[in-house]
Amino acid sequence: MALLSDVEAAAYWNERHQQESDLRSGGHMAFDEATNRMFYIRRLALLMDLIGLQSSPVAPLFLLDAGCGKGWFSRELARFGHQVDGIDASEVALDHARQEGGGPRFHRSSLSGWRSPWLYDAVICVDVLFHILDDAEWERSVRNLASLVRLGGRLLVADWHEEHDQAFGNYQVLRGRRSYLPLLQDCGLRFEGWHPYDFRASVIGLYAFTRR
Amino acid sequence: MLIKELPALAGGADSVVWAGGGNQDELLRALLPMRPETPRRAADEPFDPDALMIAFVGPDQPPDGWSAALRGLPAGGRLLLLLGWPVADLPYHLVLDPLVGAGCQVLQAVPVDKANRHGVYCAVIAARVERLAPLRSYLDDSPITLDGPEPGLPALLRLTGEHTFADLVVRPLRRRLAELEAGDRPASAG
Ligand SMILES: C[S@@+](CC[C@H](N)C(=O)[O-])C[C@H]1O[C@@H](n2cnc3c(N)ncnc32)[C@H](O)[C@@H]1O
Repeated sequence: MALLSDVEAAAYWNERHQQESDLRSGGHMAFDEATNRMFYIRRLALLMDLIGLQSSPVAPLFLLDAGCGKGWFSRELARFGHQVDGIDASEVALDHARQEGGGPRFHRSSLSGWRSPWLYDAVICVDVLFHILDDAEWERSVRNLASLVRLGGRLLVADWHEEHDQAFGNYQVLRGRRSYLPLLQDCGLRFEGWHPYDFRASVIGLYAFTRR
Repeated sequence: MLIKELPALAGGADSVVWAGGGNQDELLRALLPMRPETPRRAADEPFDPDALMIAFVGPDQPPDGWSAALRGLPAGGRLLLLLGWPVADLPYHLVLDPLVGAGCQVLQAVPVDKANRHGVYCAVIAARVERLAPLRSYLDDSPITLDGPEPGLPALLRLTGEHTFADLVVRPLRRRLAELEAGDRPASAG
């Protein structure tokens, strides 16, 4: 099956964010809203384990939610006291995220195009990279996200844990260890482990890297 | 971070050496609520490697009491400094000079929640080192370790690079803050 072009993929996300309910649009389309809620909470708990259970309203952690969609994770992390920037390519999703408010700052940007004078304590990228279909753009995105992680900070990216890459349908290319590990080692990050979502039949989990 | 989480963060406190400042009894009760009987040693006794040196430094304290005790800290000795200034106003030059002068590495600096009633706003964990201890992330709450792998050249290049760039980009912000503060001030009479 031919993969979507960049323009088609952008249109796909705008339409999906327009038509689908809050959690289904950024979550899993096969699940209803209630199941997606469980799915979101499961992944939030995983993020908490990996970002840590400390927060400080006075001197917060700075987080980047890369590919934030409608901003559910950004808002929840902001409610923990963290300072969150959310970026996404879809204006429709960002309109929704801004309307919800809740603390994060939202910006329209591709993952490869985000520029900042500040580095982040953690950059999270939940269920986005396997929707970047072009390998060169995927690599630019991963490199850019890695460059935004400060010393001691973490990069958490969702993908599967097979060795190889594989396309599914026309809008997903899952990439595996052979793609992530050498690339991020080259970016100066240390691989800390892969943490499965363990949600129903999902094969996805979070790759955790630390800048040391 | 809570004040009672600090001794574990500092790598434990089988005994404590109070190096000055603050209300020792009150602060030790807040730090070690479950272990009020923790042995205390005098700063001029030989320093036990499992002991934690603790001091309070704040606006109303003479700055030099604890720094004299610091010079008695042997290599590997750990120090927990409780600081009596809000994070945004922390005059850290007052503590950095004595720490570096005594050969100590600042391992972690953290805000302390809900300890204002004890006059504590933030804390620093440091240790006397003979080589660099592993670097830590902000708000990492696992106990510090001194004997892990020394940071390598890539980490040190990153550290100096981040320091240099952060030092540059923070300048316009500091300037902007000064402008805003000046704007907030009522115009002087006359
Ligand atoms: C499955 S959704 C996940 C959204 C969000 N992380 C969540 O879990 O709720 C994928 C998101 O990635 C965004 N996206 C896809 N490719 C992108 C790119 N190259 N740069 C920025 N955002 C992108 C889409 O607009 C969409 O909002």
